[in-house]
Amino acid sequence: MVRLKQLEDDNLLAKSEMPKQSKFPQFFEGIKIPLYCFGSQSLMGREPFGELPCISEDEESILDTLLLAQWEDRAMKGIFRYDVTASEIKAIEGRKKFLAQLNEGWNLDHFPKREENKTFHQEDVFRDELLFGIASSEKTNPELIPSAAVPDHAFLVFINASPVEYGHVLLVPHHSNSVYQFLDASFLEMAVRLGVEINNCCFRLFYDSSPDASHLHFQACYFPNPLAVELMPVDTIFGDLQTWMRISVVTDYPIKTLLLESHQKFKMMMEILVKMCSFLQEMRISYNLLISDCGKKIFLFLQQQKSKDPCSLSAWECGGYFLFKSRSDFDQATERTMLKRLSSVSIDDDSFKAVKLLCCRIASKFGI
Amino acid sequence: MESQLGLIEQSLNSSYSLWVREALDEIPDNFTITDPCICGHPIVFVSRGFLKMTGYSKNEVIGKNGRVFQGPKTCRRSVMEVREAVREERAIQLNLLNYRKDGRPFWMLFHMCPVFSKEDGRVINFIAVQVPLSRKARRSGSVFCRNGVILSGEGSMINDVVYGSCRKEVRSDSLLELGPVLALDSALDSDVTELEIEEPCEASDLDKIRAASAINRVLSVLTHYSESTGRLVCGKRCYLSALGLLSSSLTISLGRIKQSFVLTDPHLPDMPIVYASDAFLKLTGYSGQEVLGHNCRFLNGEDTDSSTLYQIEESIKMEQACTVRILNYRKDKSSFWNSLHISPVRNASGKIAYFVGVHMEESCNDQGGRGLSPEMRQLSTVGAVKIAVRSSSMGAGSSKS
Repeated sequence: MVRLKQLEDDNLLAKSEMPKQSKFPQFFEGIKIPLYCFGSQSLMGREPFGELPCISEDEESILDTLLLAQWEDRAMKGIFRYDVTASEIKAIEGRKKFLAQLNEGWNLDHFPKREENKTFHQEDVFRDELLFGIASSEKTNPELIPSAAVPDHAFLVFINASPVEYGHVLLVPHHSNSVYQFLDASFLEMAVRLGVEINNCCFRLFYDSSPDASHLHFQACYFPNPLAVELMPVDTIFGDLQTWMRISVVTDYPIKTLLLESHQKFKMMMEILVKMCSFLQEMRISYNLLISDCGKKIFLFLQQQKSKDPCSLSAWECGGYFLFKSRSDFDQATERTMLKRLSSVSIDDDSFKAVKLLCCRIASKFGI
Repeated sequence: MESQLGLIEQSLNSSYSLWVREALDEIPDNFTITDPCICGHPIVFVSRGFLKMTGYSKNEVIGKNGRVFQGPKTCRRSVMEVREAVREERAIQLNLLNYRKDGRPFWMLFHMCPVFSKEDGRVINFIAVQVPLSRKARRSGSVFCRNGVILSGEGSMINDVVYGSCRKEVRSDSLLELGPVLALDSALDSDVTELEIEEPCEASDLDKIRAASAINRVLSVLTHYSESTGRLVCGKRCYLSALGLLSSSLTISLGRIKQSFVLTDPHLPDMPIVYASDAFLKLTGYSGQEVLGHNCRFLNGEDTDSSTLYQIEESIKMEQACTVRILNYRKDKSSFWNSLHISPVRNASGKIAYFVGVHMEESCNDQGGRGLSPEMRQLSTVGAVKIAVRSSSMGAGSSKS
């Protein structure tokens, strides 16, 4: 099975190890995938940002249909390690509405290490896990090419063989002669754009920062219910939504969280966010992103970077969705323990103050 | 879309008789009635007061979903709360920013409550009352009326958090005592100042009472007229949901899926259809009433291959998905090759709750095209149904605090 770690090891991502442009084409030679092309219309002027989310679902989204179809196809073929819809989910009793899932098959390390010496995947396995590609195009409207060679500048959508929810996929940037090492505005924009064009309020994207930024990728899936953090009240600390963008603090939430929203100056928001992320990296603060509400909301969770324990919480955990491997843990999960779990990784008040200040400073530099 | 309009027209008539509109028209409040059983959860009745308040004409409102009145500044969280209340089939009261036809936003107190069928506990309608909020009413801790009676003193809810306090349901019993107060409420209608839109504003006790009493007026009309059709309704669920009955939230989510499919319930005798999409009804020529509660076998005819039927039966028994090509018959006896995909669908507990059958006529190669093959549409429908069932079966019961 191709898991992300394997892909990294085998040059999809880790540039240090590979002679550029040597192995890459060979994976994709002869492989035809559905290719979704974003329209050339820029995100900034797009209608969806002026509308309400979640409910403007009348028009069919090709991308949503494509992702669901490809994912269901793989589910039918038995490519996944388990049927995630067979796992029980519940809301943990309490005011925060944390969600819990009992999933005995889930692997805590979402990217299991490849067994040593195992030769790289056969082409058909690879093909099974690669759902489709996403590229930009010159055409005004988005289109789907049912079968195309993998283009050079594209984002590849793989299944996650250990899904945490229906439709769980990995989004990996693919450039043969350059490898993304850091979250940059174009990658972020691609992810957000995906959220916008899928136009399904259940769909959410996740990004987890890692100290070495070695595997740059987004994850995404359909969460059936709103996550706890999305239901929390917020306090605006910068800007307002009407003129350009708004930055708010999520209040009364155990992990320090900022919320960025924009209706118009979308690109600017991306740049601000990317700038912030790189500062956070310098400040040795781990962070996670959750993109929800059809791309209109970006939550930024702030975690302490612990040198000892690199396994910090994933973005969905920060958002309030927890997986349990055993029935007893699942049954005994209480709001209190979840609150504790989140608050234990959160940065402290002083660091948060600094982050807020930094955030406002960066935002104001972009000026109104 | 003609059939949709027909359904909307029939919605009130069939539950409450033809005369209910007249009675509803006499209620002065601003309200709408929606029908969650129709695809898109449309408005099936709108009061004159509501039209006057929003500037729309009746035809512009009937058939629309309530979201058309929302706009960019409408609080998303509040919208989500309303959606959740619909999902959980309960009443909700909160402040919401809506938009008039001319684009001007206004704050109002939104009070929505479900109307249940007395017979089986199903939600028949939702009533949504809107009380426009004025700065005047908000500023004063106590409200003076013409005759100088102080209506509310320190009890006003000014300090309450908008989203917290307003959620509590207003019980109809407690309203009886407030009867004398209600008579005064129209005095406040004159010269209301528009609120600054930026700041969310709070509803006074009086606003809340007005909303609740309007709900009661509508409810009592509906209850009264439901007696004439024998399909009694009430404001409280009086019967636990019958087995196999879909929650209105699931019906709403399924309504967004445009393909031709049915949901069948394997836990009921003979595995009857519990949901049929509009596209399925169009494909087969039957009406909803004709197929709901029946096993899918009415689609089969004399030339239907029995080995294919056996194959379907087996995969259902094994709880597995299957795709077959089967000769089916429409209501008018004409036959068509049905490319049928059947898959088990699990609920939030991970148990199989339904089977979804996605039916597609084979010769229709071009199902809207856009690069998507019929197989893709079929599979994506399965995915969408799985997500819908998984989401709507969660929550109720497990998260009450």
